[in-house]
Amino acid sequence: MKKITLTTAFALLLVFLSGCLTTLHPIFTEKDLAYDPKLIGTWETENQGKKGSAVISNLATEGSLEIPGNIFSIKQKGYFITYRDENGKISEQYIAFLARIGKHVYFDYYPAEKKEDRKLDEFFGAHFVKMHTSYRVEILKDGSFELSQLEEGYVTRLIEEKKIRINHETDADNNTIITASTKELQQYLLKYGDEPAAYRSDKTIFKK
Amino acid sequence: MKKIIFALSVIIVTGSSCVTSLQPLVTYNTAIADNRLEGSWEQDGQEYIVQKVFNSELYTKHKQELEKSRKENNGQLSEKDKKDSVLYSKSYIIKYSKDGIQYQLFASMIKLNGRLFMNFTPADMTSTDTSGSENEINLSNRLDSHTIARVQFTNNNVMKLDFIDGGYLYDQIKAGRMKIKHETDELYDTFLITASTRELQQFLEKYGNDSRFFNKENSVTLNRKS
Repeated sequence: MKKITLTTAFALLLVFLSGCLTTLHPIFTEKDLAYDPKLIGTWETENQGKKGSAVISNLATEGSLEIPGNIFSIKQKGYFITYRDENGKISEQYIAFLARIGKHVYFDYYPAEKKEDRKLDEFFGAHFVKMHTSYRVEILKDGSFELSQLEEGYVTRLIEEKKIRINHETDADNNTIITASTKELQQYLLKYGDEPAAYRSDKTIFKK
Repeated sequence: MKKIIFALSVIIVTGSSCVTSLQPLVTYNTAIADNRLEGSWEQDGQEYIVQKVFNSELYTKHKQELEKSRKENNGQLSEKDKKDSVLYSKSYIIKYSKDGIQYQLFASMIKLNGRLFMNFTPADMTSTDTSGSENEINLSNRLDSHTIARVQFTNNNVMKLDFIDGGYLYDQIKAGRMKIKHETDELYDTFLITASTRELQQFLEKYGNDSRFFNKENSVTLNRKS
């Protein structure tokens, strides 16, 4: 684990990126969208024994949500996902799109404005750049589905070993920030989408 | 004018916008300390307390982690820690509270072509619950970035901060009239400057006195309280 300096301690307070691949750009364009109405509903979730729930709704039905940029024009094909912990407390909220890239279907998650976020001072909040996270989605025969999140370490190792050319930046704390375009990200998924090591080993299971 | 998601922030005053950068403008070897910054400042009834990093509560809070880090390195500071220490010795923590949340920004200054500029980045954010205990606020899947302002002291008691107009910069880049490394995403309206620290400095050496970048809509005047 990275040694904690004051700078990284500051960063850790604010950014939780460990292990999960985050990207500046989304993995999809409008033509890749693969909206599936069967995902709408309330789900029981489990990840490594940790239970919770998730409500998935159509993005267009969320009138009070702040929808960024040009997402407004495709909101009918999007989802709004609210995760709750085992105590029923909202833990995370995302704007999500399902996209087919090659033979797999992926979720692209983008942080949605939570009530807490809206309370934040705008100047302070402006310093946080929202990042995308992506999951391979496997829909099972019984209607349940599993999410496998892309692993950050796999990409950074490929970069370090010069086995891949993908746009990235290194910040002042030596963190690798993936700035690859959507096209580059899709090329990555097409090449490594079947590689188990490209995903985190823990899956999130969604059951009705 | 394009709406810039990260530039929509109200910069202490209402109605102004700024641009965010992945890299800092100021590094350990270019930071300068300025004693005029320290103290309590006020703008439209909002108080801002500016302290040197080493005098701040935040530094005290994280001192143990720093000591631990040093012990893990045979009692020595790593090269990065050494550089960070130099930067901290010349940097400031800006503390303020709003709607029950305490904010702390890390601020460093640099002089370019005789003009002062300040780099801001988030350092800490906590809320206090009804029992009085502090809770850290963590925002997942977000990257912390930097904002930049030109600093002008009218006198020791009045400080003016002029933030770069993000909208103007975006328009110039889009029209091909200006070049600075950046990333944009049309779908999510993302705009982030990814230029290196040196490029940012060169950019401000060139445009640091350009009123089109530093217009009054993006300016804040702070008055000293103590």
